Amino acid sequence: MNIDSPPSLPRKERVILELLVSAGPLYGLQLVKFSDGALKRGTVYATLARMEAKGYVESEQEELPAGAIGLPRRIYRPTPLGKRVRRAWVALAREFALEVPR
Amino acid sequence: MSPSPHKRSLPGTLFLNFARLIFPAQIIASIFSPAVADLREELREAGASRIKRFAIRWRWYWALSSLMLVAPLSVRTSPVSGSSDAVVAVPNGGWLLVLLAATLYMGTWSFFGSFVISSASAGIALAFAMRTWHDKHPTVVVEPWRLAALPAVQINLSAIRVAGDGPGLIFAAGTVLIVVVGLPGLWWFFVAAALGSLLVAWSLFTRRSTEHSGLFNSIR
Repeated sequence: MNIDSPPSLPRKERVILELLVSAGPLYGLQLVKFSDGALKRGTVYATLARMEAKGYVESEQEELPAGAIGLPRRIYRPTPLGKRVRRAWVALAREFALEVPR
Repeated sequence: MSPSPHKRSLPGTLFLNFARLIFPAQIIASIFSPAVADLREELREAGASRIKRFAIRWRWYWALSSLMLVAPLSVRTSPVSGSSDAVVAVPNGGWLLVLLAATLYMGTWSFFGSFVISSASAGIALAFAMRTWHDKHPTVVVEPWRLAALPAVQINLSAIRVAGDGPGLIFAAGTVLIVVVGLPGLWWFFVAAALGSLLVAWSLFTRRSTEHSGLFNSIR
């Protein structure tokens, strides 16, 4: 991987990665509900789009049942890079004795 | 009489249509559509309870409004990638410019009201004129590939690049006209500026024409 600076991992992105790694693929709304107030409906989708642009998560639209109308939901999962960045952050946090989320 | 269920739009449709007017398709697909889809899912899970549905709707409308403010500041579409959901994490200057203009208009309303109305109307008319001209005579702007890869910086509502051609002339003349309407006492400044710029343009044109013809003669 060719990068100019180490990947950054702000708090909200860290929470999202933790949830996706521990609970598996999730929808935006599920991330909000599982985060115990750490994530809000009004920001989580922008954060997820940013993480997707950074390559930390990937998403796909669920397929609507035949005959169904409306919008398909989008489900998110961590990428190998996202998992790697999370592991690096956990190692760094342990090194500096920071609080490491379970 | 209650409206027919077939005539009622799905929750979030109005909001999504409004967002489509403001944001590009990539942001709609990656941010707003998933949010509205989740809103509908949560409403579906809530069942028939009117109180629950009311609370969910308000929570979501508040969230979607926040998202409208947050989205343009945190992501924008990538002009380089052709991917349909390409977004990059940098602030969107265009949206900030619109916010700045709106703030300036509101701030100067009490003592500059007529100018605000005339300049906003003239600005929109000017944008339409430029767009119409541009569609008939597209502007060709030669620029280094590095600049071409960056998002186009535009300061006009018609969202077209301005060069030294028809749209450029409409843009410059229209802008001067708008300011003169608001500040008529400064008309002499714009006349002097126009004369001065014509003089500079003429001297540059003459000099470059001489250089080019000299180069052409030396090649022959």
